[in-house]
Amino acid sequence: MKKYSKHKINTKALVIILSFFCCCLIVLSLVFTPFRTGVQRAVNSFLTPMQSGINSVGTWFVNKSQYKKDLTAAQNENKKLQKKINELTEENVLLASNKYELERLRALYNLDETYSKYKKKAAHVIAKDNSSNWFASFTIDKGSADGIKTDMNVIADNGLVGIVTETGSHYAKVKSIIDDGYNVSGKMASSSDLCIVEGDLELANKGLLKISNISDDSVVKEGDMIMTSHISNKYLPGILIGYVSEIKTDANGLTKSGYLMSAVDFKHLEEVFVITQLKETK
Amino acid sequence: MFKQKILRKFIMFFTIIISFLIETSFTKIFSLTAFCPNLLIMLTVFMGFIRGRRAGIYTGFFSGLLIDAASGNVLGFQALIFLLIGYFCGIFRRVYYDEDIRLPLILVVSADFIYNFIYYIFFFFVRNRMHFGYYFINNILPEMIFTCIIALLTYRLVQKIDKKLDVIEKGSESVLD
Repeated sequence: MKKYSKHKINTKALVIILSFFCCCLIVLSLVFTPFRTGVQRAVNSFLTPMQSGINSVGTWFVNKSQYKKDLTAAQNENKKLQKKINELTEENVLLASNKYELERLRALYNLDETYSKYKKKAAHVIAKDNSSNWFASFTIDKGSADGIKTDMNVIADNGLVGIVTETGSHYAKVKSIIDDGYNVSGKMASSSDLCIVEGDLELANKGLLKISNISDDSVVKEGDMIMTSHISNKYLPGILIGYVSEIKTDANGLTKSGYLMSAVDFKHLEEVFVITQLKETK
Repeated sequence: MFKQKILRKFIMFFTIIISFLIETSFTKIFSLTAFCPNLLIMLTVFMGFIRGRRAGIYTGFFSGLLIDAASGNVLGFQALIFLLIGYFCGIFRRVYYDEDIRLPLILVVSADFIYNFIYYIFFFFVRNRMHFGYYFINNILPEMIFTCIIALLTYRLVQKIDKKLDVIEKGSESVLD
């Protein structure tokens, strides 16, 4: 059976042309970032309404089944209790910093501006980025039309989740701190020693982050709270990141490092808060 | 004739978008763990295998482009990988038998593995994260298994739809060979 090709372009040539086109796109997007963000914005403004729609449909189904099982009442009570716990944890964070070396902390971060007094905006998580098995960034359903801007911090319940990397008019992309390789500058609540908190994919599955660069003569121990520090140029100070779960001295004898259990459960993120205050540097 | 060609392209376009949306909202819809099947790879492999190299290339290119455009990585990278996968699956069309389901499944699983492996190389290996074994067991393998199961369930459906489109396009004689 003879098959004549009804196409003008040979298949092999097509592959080569398209591959070349893709390479050009790769180079173009590495060199000119506005090109990439322009395309992204266009595609996302088309996709996110659908994602929001799916999210609300999905939420509708889930709600129905819960109602049938009569768990709603129990869950409401749970939420109230959880809010109370969050408020108490917030207070606890404040009290812990007060307890240890009060004057140094006052000088350091001006206690009037704890994160509970930062203005927040609630948002829903509507999609995870496609390579969701590898990275940890997601989309929320509020954007620049709601006052969200890039570099605003994102928190959930009582802990730091990440930072806004990109906004469209009705969506925003958030990169979370457990993202592999992503760094946040942190400090101990107790001693105000500085450290670096780093996301790592291997640890994220256990709910942990890597913490390093702690000076060896600091008295950090397991269970200590770590918060964002003043010296970060994107993160507002005083937000809880997590609790130290393991610490040991490095081989060089000068610094300590270890693991941090994040305060937020990244596997079950539904609602987050975006702090609408931006850190002013320079 | 012209209308039917457009119909097929429209259905393909629609399916790609739906698959992408399902993938990103998967955890919301099904409340499962963090893993979701890689529907777009599966679609690319199916199209390449059932319909040949050209279909595989186009499906792969547009799927990859969609992922790139939406997720903020380097634009064009995933498009390239997907289109090559579609092309290679198209080469396997010579051994396409109607009732056979093992070969397409093997193709889907290998394509998923290769895609994830390349992703690992370019985004993790170059940053000195060497524990491939860990990533494999915890991230790649569950996705491969999940994708395989979904492929098993949907392959017949895809075949049926393809045959139906063939009938619409060329008349019923084309199905008789």
